[in-house]
Amino acid sequence: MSRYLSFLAVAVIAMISFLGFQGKKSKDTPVYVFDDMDYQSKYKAQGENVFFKDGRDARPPVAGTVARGNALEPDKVFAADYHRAESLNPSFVTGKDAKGAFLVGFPSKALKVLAGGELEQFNIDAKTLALGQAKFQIYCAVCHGAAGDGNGIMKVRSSIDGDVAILTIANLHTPVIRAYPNGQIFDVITNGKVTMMGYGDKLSPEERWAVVAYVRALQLSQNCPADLVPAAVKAQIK
Amino acid sequence: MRKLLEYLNRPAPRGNFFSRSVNAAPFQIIVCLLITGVVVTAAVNEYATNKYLNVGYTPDQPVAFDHSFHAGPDSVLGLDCRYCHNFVEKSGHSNVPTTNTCWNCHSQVKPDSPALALVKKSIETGEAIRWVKVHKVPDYVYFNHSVHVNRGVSCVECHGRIDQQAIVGQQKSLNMSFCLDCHRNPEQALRPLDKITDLAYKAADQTATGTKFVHDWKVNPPQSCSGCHR
Repeated sequence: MSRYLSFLAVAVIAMISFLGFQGKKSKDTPVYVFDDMDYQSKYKAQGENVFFKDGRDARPPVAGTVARGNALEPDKVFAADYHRAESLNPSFVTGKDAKGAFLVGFPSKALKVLAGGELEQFNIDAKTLALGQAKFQIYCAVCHGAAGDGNGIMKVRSSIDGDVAILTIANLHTPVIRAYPNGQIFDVITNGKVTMMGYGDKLSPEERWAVVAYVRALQLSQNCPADLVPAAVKAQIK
Repeated sequence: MRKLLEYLNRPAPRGNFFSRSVNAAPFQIIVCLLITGVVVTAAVNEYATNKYLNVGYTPDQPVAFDHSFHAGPDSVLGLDCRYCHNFVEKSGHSNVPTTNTCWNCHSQVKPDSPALALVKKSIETGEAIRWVKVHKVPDYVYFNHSVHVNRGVSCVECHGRIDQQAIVGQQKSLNMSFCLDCHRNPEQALRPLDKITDLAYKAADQTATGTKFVHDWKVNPPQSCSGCHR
């Protein structure tokens, strides 16, 4: 018995020294003890695919085609009376009117088609501004700063690292940018400008318009006429 | 113990075919089997689950992206998780960022650094960077990121403190009991929606605030098979 127990103790010590404990860091691909159907040969988001030359599951759209929608709404996409929302209201995705000039104000209609065939109303309200603020702080503040003054972390870091190109980061409160029509700000967010790359792939059109609204709010906050300041706040400032 | 063995090995009243030590054998066999059982159970518990097999998986990535430098309020840059993983609120799949996303900044910051050679090549040729997937669930599990982050479940619940990791490794087991623990007690994981990507956030009284969110948002996590499996 004592012989068996000492053998067992040696086995346990060997096992622990060989396998370690839970949470041990390892570069090896995890072992699946029972891998039944854990790996299925199907197309996955951002998956790898040996069939295609570029090795991707995700296929780019065929050249010259326009997406009608996605697989989540096949009934809508294949309906006889289907209209692509973007074609019903192109200003909402380009920021330009029918003549190609930038919209001065905000579009009044959004992209969603309501039951009666009408487009949904697009309102600038507290909810829109909150959405714009959230998106601005994630995507824009990195360079333009939370206040929109162009002093985001990118400018701070680039001055430490000596990357001069970052000097092109815009202060959103300059007279030039304040004079931009809303549609032009929308266009810059969508397609980028100078060293800024476009954010059209990250923000939906609704979110981009919300960011435009929030940029307008920021600009107002930095150039606020005295008579617009509420009396209570004015007292605090004095 | 010794006395017990002496008693079991006591001289037999008359001569016996078997040696005396055999008297103790049944007892010794039972003790050995019990100890072996304990050791095997402990070993299976320690080694045969995701907690050992998957947790700690920290592969090298083709580009040595350092989350602890880029992401989170305490990091140098303080990027929000969603700057790069921008579809996490909209899609079931939380995307690995496109090379464009890296290039938003790195077209200006150290574009010629050898550490970014693969990123630059990807921008120039359109070739994908082959990032290594760390957090995996089996293919018959349909985890939806947007549903969770839009209902107050933070990144940190499943991914741990990514904002403190230089190289990302798996920190939670992500096995079925891990999912069910939370689906049975959702109040332990819910937080205000504006704190989703604040990985350091701790509620003063998690049970109280969580219970309120469960009620207000009508949170009712599925515990049936079809909730996650199709």
